[in-house]
Amino acid sequence: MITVKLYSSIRKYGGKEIMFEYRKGLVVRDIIEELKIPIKEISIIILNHYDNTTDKMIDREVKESSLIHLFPPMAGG
Amino acid sequence: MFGYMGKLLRINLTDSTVKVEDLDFELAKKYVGGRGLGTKILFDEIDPKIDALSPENKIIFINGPLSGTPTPTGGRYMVVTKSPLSGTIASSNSGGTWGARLKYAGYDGVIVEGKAVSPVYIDINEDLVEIKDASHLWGKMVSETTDILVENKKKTNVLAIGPGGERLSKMAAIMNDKDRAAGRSGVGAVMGSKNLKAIVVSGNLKVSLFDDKQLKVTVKESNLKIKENPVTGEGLPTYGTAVLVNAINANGIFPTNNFQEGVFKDAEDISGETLAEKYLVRKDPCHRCLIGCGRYTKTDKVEGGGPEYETVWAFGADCGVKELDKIIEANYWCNQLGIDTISVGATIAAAMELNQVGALNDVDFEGVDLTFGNAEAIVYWTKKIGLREGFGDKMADGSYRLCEMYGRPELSMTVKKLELPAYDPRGVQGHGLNYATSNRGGCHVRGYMIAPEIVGLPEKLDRLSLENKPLWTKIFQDLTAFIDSIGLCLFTSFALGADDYAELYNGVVGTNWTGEEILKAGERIYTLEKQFNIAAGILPEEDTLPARLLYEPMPSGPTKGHVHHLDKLLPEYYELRGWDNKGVPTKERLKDLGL
Ligand code: SF4
Repeated sequence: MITVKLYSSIRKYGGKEIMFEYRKGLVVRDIIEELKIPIKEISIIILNHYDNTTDKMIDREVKESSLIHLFPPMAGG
Repeated sequence: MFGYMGKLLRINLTDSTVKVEDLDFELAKKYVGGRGLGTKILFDEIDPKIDALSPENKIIFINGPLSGTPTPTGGRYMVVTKSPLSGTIASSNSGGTWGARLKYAGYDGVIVEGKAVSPVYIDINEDLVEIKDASHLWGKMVSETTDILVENKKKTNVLAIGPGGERLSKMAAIMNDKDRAAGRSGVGAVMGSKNLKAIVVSGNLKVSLFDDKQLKVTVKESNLKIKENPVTGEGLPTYGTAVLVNAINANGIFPTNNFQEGVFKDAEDISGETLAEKYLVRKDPCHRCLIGCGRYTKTDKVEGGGPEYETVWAFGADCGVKELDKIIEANYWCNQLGIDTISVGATIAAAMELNQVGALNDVDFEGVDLTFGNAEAIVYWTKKIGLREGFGDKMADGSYRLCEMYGRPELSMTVKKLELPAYDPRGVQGHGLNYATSNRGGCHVRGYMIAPEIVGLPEKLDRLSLENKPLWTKIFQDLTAFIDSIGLCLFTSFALGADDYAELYNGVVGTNWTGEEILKAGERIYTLEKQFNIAAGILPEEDTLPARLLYEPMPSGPTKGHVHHLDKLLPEYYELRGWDNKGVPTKERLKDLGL
């Protein structure tokens, strides 16, 4: 199973956490599309501890027990 | 003279004199205003080696040319003085309306000198400036003091210290408009040392603008950028700065239990999302701010302004506490007592670790143990710190002095004795470099490298890579010095760039500056602060981080195994700044900057 964690404004598309069934060849984009989250609302993705912008992460392959964090644009300080 | 009111107030509390001085416009242009001009005045007028709590120190409340204008967030001011906590230059920024009101009263700044024989406050009502007795206010909390002084007066704002500043806690803040804080570096203690309880300002004057018509267009464009930007238009207004909690935690750089770990398992409980769901009453914007990151919250015990991300972290993860209502309560007491939430939370965290290693065996905890995770302790000991009672008296001068007193200075997570904020440098290399080189010590808002390294603004950098980090850090520090000097909020920089600031500045002041020139002005200010610190006796080896962050790999989580590589970053950073290998500015660079 893959764990997908959503934050702040993206939570409206599925709450805090979703478990997603693994299949071979799955990339981040497949998961986001199947969860019906508009890609343009996501800004930063962390996949198994590596973080980068959506465009750099979206075609990455996920593993059987991957952990994915999806963040909308945010900042603070 | 546009943007500036052209007048400075000089108030000597020793001989009770009030003078109005003309602002030197050439000097103002060169050092911009706020942080820059304040530093220049202070450096010219005091010996940086003096004791910060002696009457020889001065405290300067100073605006930028954009404060009090229609520019977005144009209401911020700076408190510039020598810091009693770090011994460095202190320039502490605050929002609310007080700064703008000082311009509406006709002044760019107030320079306070000397020491009153008994408690006083300063009452500024445009041309009428008086020093008044404050003995009836001494000992009172910040909100009560403010209510008494505002009475029913219109167009009046109050800045005040609480018992923390009166009792000279080196973590004391200056509060304005009740819950906006010039929080860091112990500036509140400098007011306390002068027996100055408050400054009341009333006024209704206008700031003159160079090109009213063009400025309207520029302001409209900037406002649109702020509104349409998802960070300033949605994220910050909806969730406040604590929206960062989950992101920082998911990267394993959310300092937990006094920086012993980088992941807090209960982060969700103290996140901006939870805050919005459970305790948020409304957003609470500063003067002329469209963003409104400020929170107004309510629990069954207290209600008021805050908490911010940094506060939620300091009393939360750093103390191992997951009870958000208790964090809000600790925040409330910090605002009332006038003490800095970051430094106080971090000092309690340091005490918890001292206790964990057995260094506090003889301390009377009055039944409220300083152990990680004890939510009662953060509220109880915050009050004791602000009132300097019991063991709170020992904690009231900050984590460095506390840890040194108990023989374990290495447990103090500070740079130049200022408590580090809410990001573990082991997993954000540029941000760590910023901490080490920040002229006021451990501070995140001198060069907020979290923007590029974590949230990808203006572009995403690999947080663990060292490449180009010295250059990015320098640019962020220089741009921030400029923003702090014109009187706008740093958070506008999530939506605006150097060229936008140049346009706003030009529209108000009537200059023709480019983005490049404002960065140069920022660099001049940054270098001047460094010169102040050198003259104050701050040693080259103080441009460093706590040993834990340099030598102990992060034990677990997404940043596991990493340390901060300051030794690899610092030489390149100094070179870019035109400083020698000890961090001393070279003659050539000083000349180039007109210093
Ligand atoms: S963004 Fe926040 S801190 Fe900045 S001016 Fe607006 S409310 Fe104040």
